Amino acid sequence: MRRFPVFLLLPLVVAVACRNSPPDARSRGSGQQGAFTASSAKRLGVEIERLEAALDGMLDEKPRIVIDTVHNRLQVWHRNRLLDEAVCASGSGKILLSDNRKSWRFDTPKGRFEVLRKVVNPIWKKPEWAFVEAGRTAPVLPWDFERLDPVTLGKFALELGDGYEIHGNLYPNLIGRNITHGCIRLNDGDLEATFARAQEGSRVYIY
Amino acid sequence: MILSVLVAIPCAVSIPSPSAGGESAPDSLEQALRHRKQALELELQFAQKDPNAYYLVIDLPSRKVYLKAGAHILRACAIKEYRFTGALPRSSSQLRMIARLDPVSVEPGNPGLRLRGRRLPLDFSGRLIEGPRARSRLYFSPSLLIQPTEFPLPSNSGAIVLDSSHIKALGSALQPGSVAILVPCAETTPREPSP
Repeated sequence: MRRFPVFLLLPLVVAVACRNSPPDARSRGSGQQGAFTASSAKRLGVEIERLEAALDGMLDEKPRIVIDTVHNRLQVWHRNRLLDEAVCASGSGKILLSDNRKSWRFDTPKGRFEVLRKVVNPIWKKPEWAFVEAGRTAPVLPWDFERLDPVTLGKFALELGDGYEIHGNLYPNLIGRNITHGCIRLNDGDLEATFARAQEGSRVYIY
Repeated sequence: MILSVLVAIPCAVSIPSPSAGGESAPDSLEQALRHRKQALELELQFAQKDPNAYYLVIDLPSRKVYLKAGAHILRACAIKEYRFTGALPRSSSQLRMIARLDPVSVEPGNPGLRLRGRRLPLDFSGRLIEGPRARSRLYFSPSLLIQPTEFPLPSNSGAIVLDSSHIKALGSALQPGSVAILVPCAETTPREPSP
């Protein structure tokens, strides 16, 4: 049998080796490695800009309120810029029991809410627990005059739904603590500033 | 036989491994950009899927942890220290929170016991403390702990150390199942041994 001329395959072997060698080994000294990285980086940069623009597009144009109930801090942000920060008071987590076995837990709810309504000089319509806590009997009728309180909520309120609000405060010394019945309380100056920045439909994030 | 040996030698020596992404030794800038792109893709995907859910972006290159919801930044926390043992993160990846580990234990107890299945200890008014604490730790899968400075770094999992005030806030915001997007540092990513 005639032997195969192996030397004829050497150019093929050399070509395969060159094709599979690392780029820096191929282009060492020729400056091609830099060109490769620059073009690749540019392409990636364009992709990153596109993704960042897509994420930016998700940001709300209205200022948003962020509330940290652990440290009792309220922040107002616009897009990803912090505009304002204030000390607030949030839910105590206490449980109130009534004689007729009703119970209420005074937690500030967590999650995403919206400013449903901005109210100037709000009037608080006291719920049943306010009377139970004061050791009194709640009026039977929900629209009873005795339920209306024009003082407690302060000058402004931002309604978040389900009876929760960001409002004023009768006890400035208690701001910064977890002492409320679930609402967020602010001192007068901070409340006014927050009220001015917030819009109806502004997002409120509570954690 | 000679033929097969001659062809096999250069291939074995110089073909980059598939785990290196088909490229041999990309420089750190390109790697960092690639990580950033992957992280943004993951974040966009998650934020579009659930715009109200709280999630974390753990940005190791800028040493920050961001609490976000629907792409909105809610809190930025500086990373004091981090360490990854064993498998270093190769690319941006999505982690899922398994549990908040509090420095208390769950009481199994008897069915009639008031503290059954609850966490200790009690607060001053006799109620159980169930909220996040400054010494809580957040455990994510694949194995990563976000913990305060008081604890030693674990030897068998990755760890990120934050100020205890941040831990308490993040513990309040996140629930088991919450998502974290990890952006690794280019320089910490292990490279394939050069041929």
